[in-house]
Amino acid sequence: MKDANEYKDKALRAVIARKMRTIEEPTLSDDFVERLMQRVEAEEKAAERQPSSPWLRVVSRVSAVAAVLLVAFFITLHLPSSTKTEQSYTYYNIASLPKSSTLEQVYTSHRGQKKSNQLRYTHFRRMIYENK
Amino acid sequence: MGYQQANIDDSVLVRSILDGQTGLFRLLAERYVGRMMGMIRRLVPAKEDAEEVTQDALLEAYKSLSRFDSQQSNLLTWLLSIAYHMALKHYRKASPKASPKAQDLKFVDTNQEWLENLADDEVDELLADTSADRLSLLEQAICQLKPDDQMLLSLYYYDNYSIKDISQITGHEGGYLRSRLQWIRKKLAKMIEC
Repeated sequence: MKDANEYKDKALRAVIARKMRTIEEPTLSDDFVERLMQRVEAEEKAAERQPSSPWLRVVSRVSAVAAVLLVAFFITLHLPSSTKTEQSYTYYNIASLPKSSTLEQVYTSHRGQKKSNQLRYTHFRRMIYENK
Repeated sequence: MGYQQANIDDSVLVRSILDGQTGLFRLLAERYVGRMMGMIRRLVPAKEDAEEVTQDALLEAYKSLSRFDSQQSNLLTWLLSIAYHMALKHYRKASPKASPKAQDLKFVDTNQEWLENLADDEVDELLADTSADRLSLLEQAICQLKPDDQMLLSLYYYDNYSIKDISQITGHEGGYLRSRLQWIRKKLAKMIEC
């Protein structure tokens, strides 16, 4: 296989040279470089606002994501109870236990969960409404 | 611009910019903007668009200047590589339909069999024929090529870049470029064969 510029191809070279000449000599607007330098400065300022270390940048991004998740969590916590799937699910599970179940038994039956206010609240609500 | 600054070596210039002398990027831009714009205009003919793409390419070069490795390539080739990819991206986005009609050309199918049947000597002969008719056909045939193939031809035949340099500019392997060039030559020869 021939390498760079070993192909003579006189006609092809002539046509390409003619084609290239039709692309006029590049002329730039007077303010081209000024506009470019303004963009460079803006880029520089934006970079200064960011932490210089790559690790700090990662930490800053993780913090931002964590903050969003935290806000989402609190919003969910304050939604009306009817929209809480988890609460309904918890109530359904507790309702499947015998009516005489103690709070400790409820906790035991939800081994995956912590001793949450949610469980305690649902258990006592059930006691009030079902054990009457 | 001071005399000393004007003669500053590329690698020193890059190092100084990276060390915080942002203003020196102006010197880098003034030094290479013509070559970059020239490359971009091959794919982006409208002057205003070409200027915008050139600005974007230079800004991209500024942002990724820390990745420039003088051991791997020279500054011009590296900048041309950025310009090439920016121009190609713009071209694909704009997808212009305006290419000269070529009713006189033979239909060339995508079946590659004819490539093997075409002798190298025959290709050499066809692409060396400078008769007016043949040149006119060849011009039309080139317009039918894909933009990156046209760019490959211009880099090889007009700028006289080596395959290694073209590889650095386009990001394609040398082996691929050699076989692509061979394929383009055969295709052109087939198109202008009477």
